[in-house]
Amino acid sequence: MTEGRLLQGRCLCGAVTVSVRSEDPRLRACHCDMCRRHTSSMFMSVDTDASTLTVEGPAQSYVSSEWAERGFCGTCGSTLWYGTKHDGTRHLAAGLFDNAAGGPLTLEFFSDRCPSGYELAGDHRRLSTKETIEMFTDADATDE
Amino acid sequence: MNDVTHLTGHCLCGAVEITVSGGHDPRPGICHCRMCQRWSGGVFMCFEAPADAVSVNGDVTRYASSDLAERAFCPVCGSNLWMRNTDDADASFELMPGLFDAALDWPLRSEIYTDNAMAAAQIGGSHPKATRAEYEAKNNYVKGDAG
Repeated sequence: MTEGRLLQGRCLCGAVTVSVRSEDPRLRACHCDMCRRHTSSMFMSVDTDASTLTVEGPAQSYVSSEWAERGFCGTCGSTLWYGTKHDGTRHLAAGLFDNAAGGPLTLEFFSDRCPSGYELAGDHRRLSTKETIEMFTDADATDE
Repeated sequence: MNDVTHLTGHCLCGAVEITVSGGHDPRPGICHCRMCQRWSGGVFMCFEAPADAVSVNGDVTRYASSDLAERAFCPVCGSNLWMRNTDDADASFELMPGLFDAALDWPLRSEIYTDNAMAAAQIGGSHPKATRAEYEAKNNYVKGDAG
């Protein structure tokens, strides 16, 4: 069984460190209203094996909706993760890892909500608001 | 370019409200330096507002991210609020556009440290761009952890 590459990351001030394995560090971006307000642009996460995650340091959690909580460093305010409550998975912020672990962008959520002033280049999959909600209504749910 | 429109913004939990009474540049800039990537979680964006136009309500935590600057965030929800030079009492605020509904469709002003952008964060558009070397040749910057 492949274990996946070990990724180690930290927040801006270095107080929060994370260690996790990932077999395929794909990136996903979300343009929903809440992600935009929290990060100022979009939330970008790296796909990791959540069961291998260890987090140390002053990570704080804000319960942003019925379905999710958002992790940030209490010292410097760095965005750490978007956590889905139903399965306890922490979707780690791409910025934690140098070069975002080199992963390609594979998916955009709420792509129609991306502000018109910018766009993410690439031929990855883009899900509209409707498609995003449909995807998550089947399994878990988003903040929206 | 100055816009005298009055803006109101707030963080995710609503504890912090920021108003801008005008004179701001209604065009966000993107920065891909390593410090901004870490802080934002991915793509850092900010727009400039003069200090005397900005008023802040609510508790804010300020982190001194370097000798030159502070990065402010909401201690309740973690929303990024602004970056601001600390070596100048009249320094303008570099506010996060995501806080403001009015900023939703503003065009980009610029994109810097483009050579450090994540592969997943290639930004399309015809706005001015600068690599790390190009930017640092003309601007003050933090030595070290930029890329």
